[in-house]
Amino acid sequence: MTAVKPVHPYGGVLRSIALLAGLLLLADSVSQLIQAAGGLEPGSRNWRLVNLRLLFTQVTPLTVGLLLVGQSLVRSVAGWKRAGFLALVLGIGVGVLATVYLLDTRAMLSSLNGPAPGQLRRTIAQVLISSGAFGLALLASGILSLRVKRTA
Amino acid sequence: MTSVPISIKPSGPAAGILYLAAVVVLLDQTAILAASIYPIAAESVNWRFGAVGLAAGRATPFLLADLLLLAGGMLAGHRGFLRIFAGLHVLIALLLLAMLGMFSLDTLEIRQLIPLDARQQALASATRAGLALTAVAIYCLVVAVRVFRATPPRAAVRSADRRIVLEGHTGVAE
Repeated sequence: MTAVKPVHPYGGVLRSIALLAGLLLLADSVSQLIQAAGGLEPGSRNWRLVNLRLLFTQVTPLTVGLLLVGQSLVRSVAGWKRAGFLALVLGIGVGVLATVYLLDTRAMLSSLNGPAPGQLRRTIAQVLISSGAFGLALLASGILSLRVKRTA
Repeated sequence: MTSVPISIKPSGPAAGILYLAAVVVLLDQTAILAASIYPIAAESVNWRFGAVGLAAGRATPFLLADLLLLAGGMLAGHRGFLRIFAGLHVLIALLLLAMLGMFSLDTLEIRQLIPLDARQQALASATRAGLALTAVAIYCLVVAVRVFRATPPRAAVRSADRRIVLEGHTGVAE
């Protein structure tokens, strides 16, 4: 009796294209962020405010990029456990950055005289929703991946 | 060892991750859109015109999230979710068509208020937004029909199974 390995006819090609698309998305987002940052000044509150806001406006391409690269990592190199661990680390990192942004915005709002401009409040709310959803989804994905019994 | 093509088998963790990614994209895009159109002033023609234009500009990421949800539902074999998803698409399509009608009227009204030098640009943007709304409405209807057809109600599936079994028995008896 012949052993049958179940595969999709175009599975390999589709996975390669997905990996390439994911890498391109991640490279595009990261290069935009590096270009906008114009140097590394993590000690400056203004620099942190501007660049963390920029980082969290890239949540959609980062999510899709990580999803596309992640599926390839799980299948070829890392397996579910390592990919899950990586997602957990990224989720914790995003959580730390969102907390830093929250603390910086609170400090900035308290230093402003009078009510904060509406646009500023809306931007802060948008950044916190995006970063919160991104961080929680990464943590949940990490937990889901670590709970997988078999390696793909 | 032989390789044979198969249909996709249900996969819990992968589907869960697809759902999560879709929710992140939906929340992120909704937050960005809400931050740009808030405060809501639905009685103002200018606000409605701008809001529909901005929403139409975000059609691609919303479609991406939609595809992720669809892929997650199919991968996990969540038939009930897929049927609700199809129903939602019908509602969204109707909503978009109503929005398109209102947007067309708003465009006609606002055209008189725009200075001549900016009119061409504004009409081009309005045309683009109108086309995007139409395309998304058609997409929603197509997805709804295809998903409804692919996921018949359980009763229909059971009755079809029973027919196959009965016909099989008849065939054996003959």
